[in-house]
Amino acid sequence: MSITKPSLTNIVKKQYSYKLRAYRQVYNSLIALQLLAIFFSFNGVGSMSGNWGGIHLNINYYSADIIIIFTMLWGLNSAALITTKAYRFDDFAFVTNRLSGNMANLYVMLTLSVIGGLTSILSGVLLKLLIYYSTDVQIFNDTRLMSEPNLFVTSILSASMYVFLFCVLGYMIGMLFQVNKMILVALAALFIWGLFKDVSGGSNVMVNVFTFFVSESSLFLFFIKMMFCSILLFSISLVISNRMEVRQ
Amino acid sequence: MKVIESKEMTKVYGKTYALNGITFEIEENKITGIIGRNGAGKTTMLKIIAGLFKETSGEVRVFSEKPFNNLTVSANMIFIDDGMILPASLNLKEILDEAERFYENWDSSLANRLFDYFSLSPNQYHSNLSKGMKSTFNMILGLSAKCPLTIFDEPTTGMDAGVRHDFYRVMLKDYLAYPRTILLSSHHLEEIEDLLEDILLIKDGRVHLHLPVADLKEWAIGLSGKKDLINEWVKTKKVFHEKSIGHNNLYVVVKNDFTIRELENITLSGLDVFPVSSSDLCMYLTQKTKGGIDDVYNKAKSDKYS
Repeated sequence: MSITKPSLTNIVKKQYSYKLRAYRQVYNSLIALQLLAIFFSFNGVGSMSGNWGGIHLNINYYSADIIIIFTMLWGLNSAALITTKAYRFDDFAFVTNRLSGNMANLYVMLTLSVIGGLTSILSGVLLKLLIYYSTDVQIFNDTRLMSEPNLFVTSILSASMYVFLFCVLGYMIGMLFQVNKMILVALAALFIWGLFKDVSGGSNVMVNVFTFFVSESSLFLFFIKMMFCSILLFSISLVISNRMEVRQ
Repeated sequence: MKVIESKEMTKVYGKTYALNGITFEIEENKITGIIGRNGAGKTTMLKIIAGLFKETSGEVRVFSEKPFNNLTVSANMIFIDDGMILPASLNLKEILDEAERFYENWDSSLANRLFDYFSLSPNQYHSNLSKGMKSTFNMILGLSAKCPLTIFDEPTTGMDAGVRHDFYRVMLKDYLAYPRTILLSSHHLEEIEDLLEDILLIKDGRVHLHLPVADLKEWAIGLSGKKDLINEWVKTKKVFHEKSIGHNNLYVVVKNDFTIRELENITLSGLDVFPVSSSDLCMYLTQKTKGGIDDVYNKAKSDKYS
């Protein structure tokens, strides 16, 4: 029987489509989380009210923010999930090596992020629709799908990038956790340290990290930042996974 | 062509040597039985060959490549054991479909026929199957993949006698139709010895014997008769097994390097000569003490009375 020489790209493609099918339960949790997030968003993310010349005005801000945050956490969790033994061993039921498995996971995470980003922005539209039909609130400056389609696309893209960043973060934490369980304690300690460590300007480290990612006004710089951090996190994951035995 | 070459393969867990210098070669298109007691290192060795574990030292080559984390080895090899983890979210039919996408030589018609024959249901999930059904399904995967190197590690765990028998039969038929290299480890040597061409006997992390099954059948000989007489014949030989029969009689198993002349004399002197079945022989060879479990019991008794 002759030996076949597989190509890496070919195997990665096969693994990618296999994983999209095998990880189908992550979609269920996405739907559940986004419904929950829509429910939480129902009262708006901010409001103000006042009286102007006998007119009482109550302004509520509705946005997909909570939905996006929930989706980011979903990305973190799903990515951490696929680094667990049960999922890693699923790879080894069929043709794989570590590199192809990681590459396929990267594409899966990209796909999940786009799905997550797209659905969270669309959930925001759904939210506004629900509010429109269920309350007598007058909606101003609604979804820009019609008026500013490129802004709509940009919001989907940036939401996807946030989700992706959390995916690779979750993937790296998951990998670290597989090597050493104590890593969670260390990360929690780091997080708390970040909250209380003051830096100049009256804020703390965590706030600075947050600002670094959220308050970027240049779209181009934002993409660069996101890409750089994602690649960094994923590279760390690759290095970590190379220290592990393949399957027990 | 040599499919597997191993030189001084070792595997250390902490301070224990699971494998302690395994050296052997396996030719293409042979069915080799991997025999050994529990804990002899069979599974560790097979997993290193399958590229799932990394050897601690030594040189291992599968299809002339290092197997660990190797895509070529992974694509041309399938490793079936009772701890196989298959995606929990896919049902049996979907798993077969996935396998078809991954393995070039996949024989879907064989897979479907076996699937129906063993009355597996397509909508079942692997994790819900009984032990025997799991093994049956894994076996279908292993055979249908038609990989140039097919490794079965204890494939019959939990299978009833009927299914085991069917499995051996279909494996042999499929091997004859599409010859490939098969490694088969099992505790039931008597059941598989007719399938095997070679036997690789592992003891304490080393290769104890590697020879054709036909040779193994004549490798040792059993003698029974009067104790004194037997001791006379075997005093220069290594006794693999000995068992007292009554007060004066003894049954021993020794390596069969007697000449025809000597064998005639043995018979003439009043001893009985028996062939030793391969499975008995393997058991004797891998036993730690000559007397087996009897020694444990007898020692307890003699301690008590002394």
